[in-house]
Amino acid sequence: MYIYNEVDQRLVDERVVQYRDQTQRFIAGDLSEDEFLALRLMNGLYIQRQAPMLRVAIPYGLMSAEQLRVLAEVSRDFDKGYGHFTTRTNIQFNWPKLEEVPDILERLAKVQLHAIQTSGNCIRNTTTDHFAGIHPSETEDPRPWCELIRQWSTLHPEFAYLPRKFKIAVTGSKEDRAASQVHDVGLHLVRNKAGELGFEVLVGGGLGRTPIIGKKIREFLPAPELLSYLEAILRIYNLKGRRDNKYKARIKILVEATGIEAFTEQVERHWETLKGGELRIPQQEIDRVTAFFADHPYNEDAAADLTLDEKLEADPDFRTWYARNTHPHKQPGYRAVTVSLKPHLGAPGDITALQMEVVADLSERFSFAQIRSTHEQNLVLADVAQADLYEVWQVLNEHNLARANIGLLTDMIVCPGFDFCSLANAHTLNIAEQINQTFEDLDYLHDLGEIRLNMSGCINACGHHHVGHIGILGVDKKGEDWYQITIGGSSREDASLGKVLGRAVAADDVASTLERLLETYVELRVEGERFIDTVRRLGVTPFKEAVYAVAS
Amino acid sequence: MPLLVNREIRGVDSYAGPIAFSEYLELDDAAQASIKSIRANGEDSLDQLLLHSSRFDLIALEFPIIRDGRSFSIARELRVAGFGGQIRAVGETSRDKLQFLERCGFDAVELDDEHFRREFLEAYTEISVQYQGAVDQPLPIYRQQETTA
Ligand code: SF4
Repeated sequence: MYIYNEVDQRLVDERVVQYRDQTQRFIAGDLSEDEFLALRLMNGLYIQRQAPMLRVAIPYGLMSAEQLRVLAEVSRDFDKGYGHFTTRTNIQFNWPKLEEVPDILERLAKVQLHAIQTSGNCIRNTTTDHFAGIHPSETEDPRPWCELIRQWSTLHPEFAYLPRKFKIAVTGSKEDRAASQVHDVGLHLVRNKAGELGFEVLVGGGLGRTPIIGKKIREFLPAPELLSYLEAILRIYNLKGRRDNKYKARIKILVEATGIEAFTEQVERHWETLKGGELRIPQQEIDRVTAFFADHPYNEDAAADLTLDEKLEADPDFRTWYARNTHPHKQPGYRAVTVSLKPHLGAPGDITALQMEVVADLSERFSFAQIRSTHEQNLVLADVAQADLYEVWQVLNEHNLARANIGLLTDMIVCPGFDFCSLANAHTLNIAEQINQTFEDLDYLHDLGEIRLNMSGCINACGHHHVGHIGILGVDKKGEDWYQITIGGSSREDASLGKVLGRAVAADDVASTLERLLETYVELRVEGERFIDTVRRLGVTPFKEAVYAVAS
Repeated sequence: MPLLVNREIRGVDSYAGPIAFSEYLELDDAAQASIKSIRANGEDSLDQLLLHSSRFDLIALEFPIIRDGRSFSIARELRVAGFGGQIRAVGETSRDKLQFLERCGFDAVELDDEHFRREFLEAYTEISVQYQGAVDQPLPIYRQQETTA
């Protein structure tokens, strides 16, 4: 992974000092609420329902064991002993004290972590495929490009006061595990006919109040021009994006209003003045950054191990976990392991300090001391030799991190909702628990197969509900929590937006509604057909009829 | 109202409260020719501004609210187009924007701030690392290393 040099380190160190000063000025009354708001947001600090919330950046979801240990330390020393992983692959602490945040940042900076641009109207943490660099079908590793974007976007003087936040996702494979089509900019690494590396560029995707799938603005952008092209897009957006209404301020609205052709033309025309200039990334720099993401020194004989098959044979629980929570790896004899942060009872994405240490430990022993966070709010140990899987499973299991539910209904993406978020309309954690209790039976879950369930506590859609196979949106009806259900969404390469199933249901009825929905699926599916495919084949109507017939 | 020009505190100012660029555009040629300083913001046409900019000694760019960052890009475009006069930030400026302003090509800032203190000047040097090129240093960090190597 990328290791800071002296210059990178200086930046985060100086940033801590700067933020300490800003905090002190605010506490002393020298800085107005409004001024401090913009500054604290650029350092990831929100003021929430209960307390401030600090969001720490995990650039493109990659962290070292040492970093995860420090996150555990921070959660213990400054918070309530746990953290929460988000769909932006960052980690949030829900209970820090405003005046202690500079100390937290100082602790984080020692291990090259920071909270820069994890909130506010600026370029946010770039996300990518959590199997980057290891997936057998990958075209090219996206992480070096993510790092180049990280550096370019960090404290960019021109783009710190954008109309609204700006999110970029990069993928390097035909499969899209980064929800790139619902980002402000989605970048797909591809090779052209001449074999040169470049990007297919999408713009104007997003969720929230107006969900839109991104549109292609460029078929092939030569890779060294990545930053010049991003700068062209950002400059046009900064100048022309709406600032009169925060719900209309994202770039997707500008693209819609301008029309993709006209918008493309504006960007291309401006880019003409930039390309080939200072922003072109020299090959030397591409090589330097790429070298940080070179393959680990894998054991070439890993596949010769015979113990895995024995264990799989002998232990059905292990077998189930292996089938669900481990994934193919390009190196023979290795698997990627998903650490489930979706236990039976517990908020999705939450992790205790002890669990963080356990995972850090496992990564040091078995996975080259690196951990990834996924936008689906789990962790990944990306490089585990098959002979070690059994032991990894046992340790994870002991710490409630091995629920064999990855990709299944209970592997839900859930935003914190009303319990923590001051923007929320409805609770989400209680509904997640209700679903967990109703769908406890693992065999039934496995029979239902791959289902992506996403839930948000309000229209801001932090839980990506529009692109869940099943989406749940919390709404407020006269002070009561109600839930609107959508089906047929996807954030993958076949991205689509879910369609509303029918009228919203009361809090107590969410899980039973899902039961009816899924019973209908089981009746209607053809052999081997996933839920989403049945919905796509038949449309919403049969589901709607079945679900609401019972109720009325 | 303190005025900073090239990081120095200026007491007296010859700045005579320039007219808005939109008003300037309404004037006839003769009247336009006598105007040496204007004030503009993100609502004005950038193309027009670039077209007329060489006539001005001073362009004041407004920050109507804290969150409006359009003038950062406008200043950058003016400098890239070769504007050599003063670009002054007015409106919702603050200590914590000083470094970004300078990096985007502003050489002057009006600070409407009762709390103004000399220490504000430290803001210019708080962060010494600049990853990306801008008006002050056009080379991004990897090219900076290239040239010093
Ligand atoms: S979706 Fe709404 S409730 Fe959930 S975290 Fe985002 S803003 Fe808060």
